[in-house]
Amino acid sequence: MSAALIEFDDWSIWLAGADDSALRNVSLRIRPGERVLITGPSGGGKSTLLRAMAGLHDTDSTHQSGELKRDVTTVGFVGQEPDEQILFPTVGEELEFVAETTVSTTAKVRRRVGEALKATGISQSRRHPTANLSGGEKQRLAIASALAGKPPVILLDEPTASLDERSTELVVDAVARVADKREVAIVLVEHHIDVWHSFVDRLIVVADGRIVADGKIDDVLSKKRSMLIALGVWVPGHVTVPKPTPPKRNAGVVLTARGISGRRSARSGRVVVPDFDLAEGEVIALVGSNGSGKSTALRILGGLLEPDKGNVRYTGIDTAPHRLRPAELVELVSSVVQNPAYGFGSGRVNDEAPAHERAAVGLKGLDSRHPQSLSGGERRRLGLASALSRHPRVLFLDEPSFGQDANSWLDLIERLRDFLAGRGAIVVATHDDKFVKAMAHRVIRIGGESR
Amino acid sequence: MKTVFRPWRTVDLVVAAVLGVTAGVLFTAWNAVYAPLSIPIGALTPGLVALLDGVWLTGGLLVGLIIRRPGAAIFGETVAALVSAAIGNQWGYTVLLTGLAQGLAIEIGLLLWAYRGSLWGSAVTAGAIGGLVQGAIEVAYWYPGTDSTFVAIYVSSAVTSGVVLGAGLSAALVTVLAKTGILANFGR
Amino acid sequence: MSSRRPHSLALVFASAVPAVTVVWTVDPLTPALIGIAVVTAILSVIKRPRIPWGRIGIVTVTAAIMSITSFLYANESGSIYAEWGLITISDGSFDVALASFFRILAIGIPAALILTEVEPHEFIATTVVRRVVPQRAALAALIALRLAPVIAADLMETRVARRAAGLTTRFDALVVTTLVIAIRRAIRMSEIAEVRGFSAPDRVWTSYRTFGRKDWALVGIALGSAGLALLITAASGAWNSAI
Repeated sequence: MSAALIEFDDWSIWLAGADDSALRNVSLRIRPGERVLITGPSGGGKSTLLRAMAGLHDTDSTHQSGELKRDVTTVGFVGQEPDEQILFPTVGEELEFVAETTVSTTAKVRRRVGEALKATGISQSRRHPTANLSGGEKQRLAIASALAGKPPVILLDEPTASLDERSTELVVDAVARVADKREVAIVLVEHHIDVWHSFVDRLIVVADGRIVADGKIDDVLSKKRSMLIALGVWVPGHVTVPKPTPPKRNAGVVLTARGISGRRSARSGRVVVPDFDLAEGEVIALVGSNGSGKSTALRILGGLLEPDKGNVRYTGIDTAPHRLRPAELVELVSSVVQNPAYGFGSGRVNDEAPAHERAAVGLKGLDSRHPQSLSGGERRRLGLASALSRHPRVLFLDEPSFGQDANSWLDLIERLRDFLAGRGAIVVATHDDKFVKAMAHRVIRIGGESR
Repeated sequence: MKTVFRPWRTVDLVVAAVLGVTAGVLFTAWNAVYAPLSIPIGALTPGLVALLDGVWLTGGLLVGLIIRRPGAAIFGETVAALVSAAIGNQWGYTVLLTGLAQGLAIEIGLLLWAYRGSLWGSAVTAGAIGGLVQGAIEVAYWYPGTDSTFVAIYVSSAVTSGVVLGAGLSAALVTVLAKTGILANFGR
Repeated sequence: MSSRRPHSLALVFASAVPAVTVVWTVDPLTPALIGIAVVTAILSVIKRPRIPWGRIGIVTVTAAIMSITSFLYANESGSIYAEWGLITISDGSFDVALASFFRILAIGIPAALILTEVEPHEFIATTVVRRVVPQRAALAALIALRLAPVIAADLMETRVARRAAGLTTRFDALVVTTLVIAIRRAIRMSEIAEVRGFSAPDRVWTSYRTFGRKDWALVGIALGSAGLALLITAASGAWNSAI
């Protein structure tokens, strides 16, 4: 058996900030070429463990006991948010930054950059602006950057949390290519086991700051299945959701969309929205790949963005939605944007939505935390709680299920069904097929933006 | 002396640079809104236009007041200038020179408090010195050959603005940001 | 390699020459001469120059407006035509206004010409390799530059999210939210940067290039012509010391 790259021996950590949770009595080893998946509920300590492996916990703001040996000079690290993995304006500069410190000449840097591009299947040229990459492409570039340093281990913290299915495939494919020869160990944090199942050897489950399971992935999945389900892990083949109940036959129309097209900003492409009527109790899903214009369509329908052409009309209201004052708009309809926390007016979770609404979407505790400090999944749930507390006639949801573990996903479905039963209606933009199957009565495909 | 010359951590450098950039972006937006108003007023009044100058010191002031390490203000103000040059302004990369000079002036103000004075005390000192240098540079560059009354009004407007707008805005922002908990890592 | 594009540092240096030379004298001749010389030098090294007429227009309008101020509040000299409070219009007013107009053009037009030609990474890499700027500070600045468009997008998202929350767009709230988001991004990006070798002492700066003959020529011509212009002004008797 080869020596461990990273070794924890009865190691514990207490963190000063509330951003990460603490971990107790961790003992485990990561060996060369291993493929490890770490899972568990949100806030259970998965990320804290991964960050410890990366050496990201400084000694000033933490208290640690036990032993953590890192026999690695460098590691690769890829985080959740694509925009924060990219440090430079072009693909070439991004990779050079890493290669420049690991080899000694310009020629070697160029060769190393070429190898990293090839190994991850990135087809863009070195001069390609990183700003024009999609989320999936950014994550793939982040993996290439990690690789350019030739680390013995690459650590990935929910690298696909904000990606659609196709982009997720790209990232999984890139990781698989990189790890092909077992020269690099891979450690991943993920809620979704099925995506990585065939690739990973070992599964570690972290909950409430402790390692509650650690073993061969198939062993853990079969022996600890009920525990994993209870913890909200997306166990393959577990979550099944009944079909949505259809809206009442003579339900009134609450929204009509006619001849709508628009664009997100002056420089982006035109998005065309097919005509439709939305009835009380109905759910319409807008689908399409990343960048297809789903969010733009949703924003026009929700009165957040002015359309170039066409009309959105809320029944009984003569003013065009985008002309309503914000306070008037939210009396009628509510939008939960992808980053609702950007719009929170107060500095505390408590002040954004009443406790019962937060509990109803599975958001407990956190009362005095700052909304900006929540995870992506928590921010969306808080946004939803806040929107629902205003009892809107129509709810516009942008990717509500991104980054949710299985339990909060089910909470979300249940809460939305309550809302529908109370005569609400929903338009949702989503990549999540399960969510569409569970909720949507109709699916509208938003085509590619014509550039 | 140990606390005066704390070494720069990576997080200090990146946050400082990003604050400088954010200041640059925000003030480009501010400019787009207020420039049409300020230009005609500026053209016809004897130097009162410098009352808006303080806004341009906030890059260095914010960074200096948050990071509290030697060179922070110079760095913040220079990065803000670099961004405004890269985005494109009337003066191009020459703003690097004025950014450097203004940063140095703010730096002196903070150094007088050994980087650990009260938030408002150090902000006002640094804002006043920053405004003085900024006003002097602008008069010398853009309004050569104007009479001494004009120069006096212009420079004292810049100082007033450095204190009220520059120091006031920056210190108020630091206070609000500290409440969000985001500056915990920087001892605010 | 005579066909290569000019070095970013040479361009920045040349464009800054007027800024440090026009300040010594207040007369229209000096900035006009220096401006024409530097603009010609820059245009001759850029391969296919695209003239940014829009930017030049903005610079011209700015110069015109600012020279009005100089016209109204100039030191009086020669015969006086009008007086109104602090405003004095004399013979000197015309010279001062014209001097200030040309001075702004001499600084602003070269700056506009080089804007799209300068590569910040090359510029910064060169200042680091030449030991003008500390390495980590330079890297941090580069990372922050890339974040500028992301921050601008965050600003837009904040407006939309506020409307979704029933709030109006208030500039102070936008500033605070944008700063909070930016600082959070910066903290996380600093970790990513550190893991990727931000503080490693030995770095091969791939973007660094040495000056070519043309780059030295550009700097030399810009400096030389500025010096010559000052001499011409002095010899012609137009010199009007600024100090």
